Amino acid sequence: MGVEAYADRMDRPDVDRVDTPGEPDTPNAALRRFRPENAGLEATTRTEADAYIAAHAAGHPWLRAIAHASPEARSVLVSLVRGHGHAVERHEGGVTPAQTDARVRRLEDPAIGADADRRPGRDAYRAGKTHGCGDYATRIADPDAFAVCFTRGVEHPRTRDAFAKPAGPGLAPPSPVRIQLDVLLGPDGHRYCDGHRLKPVHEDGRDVAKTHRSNWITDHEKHDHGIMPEPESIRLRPDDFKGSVVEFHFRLNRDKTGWEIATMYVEPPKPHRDSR
Amino acid sequence: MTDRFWEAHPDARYATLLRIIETYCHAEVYNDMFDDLKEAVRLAGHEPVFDVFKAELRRAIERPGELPEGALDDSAQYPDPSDADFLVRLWRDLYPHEAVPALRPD
Repeated sequence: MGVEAYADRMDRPDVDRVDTPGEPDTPNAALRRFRPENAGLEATTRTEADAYIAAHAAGHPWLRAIAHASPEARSVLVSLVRGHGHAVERHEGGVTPAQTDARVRRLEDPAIGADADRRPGRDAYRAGKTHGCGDYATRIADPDAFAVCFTRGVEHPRTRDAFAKPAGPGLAPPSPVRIQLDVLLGPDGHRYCDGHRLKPVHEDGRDVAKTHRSNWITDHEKHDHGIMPEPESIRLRPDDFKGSVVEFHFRLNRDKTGWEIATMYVEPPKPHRDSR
Repeated sequence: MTDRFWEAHPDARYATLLRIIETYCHAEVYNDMFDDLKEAVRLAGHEPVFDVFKAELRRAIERPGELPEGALDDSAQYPDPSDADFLVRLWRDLYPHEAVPALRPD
């Protein structure tokens, strides 16, 4: 049986979410409660969201993915895209499985919209800096599910505490907030996640795959496609995301008056040590 | 759920170091946030936490075996060959006019 489209459950109460006392919440209710100003973002009406998507979709494939989301989710996601963070561009369903694979193996940044412009190590926003990625690249492969995860995440008490921290240049941002995926999307939230993990490379009992990838990037730049073997990946399927955590990072918003979400991504559980 | 050392043991030695590293230096945010960390340590008087951060960074370089195994990579997802390489790079980038702390024998 395939995964139920998240759009088909928007008005159904999520009765089994973990650690969420009170009346069961529906995804649509979560989206309607969202107040962008509470997340350091500018408000975007449905009309403005659709106009923004129409005006900017060329060269921004994540906006083409958002265009298929529910109207409430489109407003949330466009507010997020217009902000300072990169969660949508790198971790939402507009990113394809081929792109999470290329990101984790070759450090190709999915936030570079045009396929032809992506290069190993090239960062969409920081010219001259090598794009960063850990040993996994993940996405929430449904724009409605991504938007609900975001809105429930930013209204979580721990995230509210983070947003309340005094903001300004030179002040430390709030520490990252890590929330179980099943708190935000319910016990089957993992079904909307996928991605890739860098295949381990063991030397002296340690996994040095990220170091090898970094060396491969350097080699690739020096030798016109390089002589080192290209890093390999392991596909992460939805079941690999059972027990995962959603991590929220914070940074100053565009006005430098408050915090906003720098990025939000799903961190899968670590593989067992003997399989690393 | 995968716990972070700094979350599970917020008052332990190295919790501040690991928390600040995850905030500014995790691979997903490093390019956007590292310049902010440079500015923050330059203005350390604004936030005493950066004094604790520096003291713990110094100690972690001097005594690399004290860091909980795997905790630094969990927080940073760094590309360097080892914890020690990452920490020395961090020191050089943040405190370029100060000598790298020397390794201390056990």
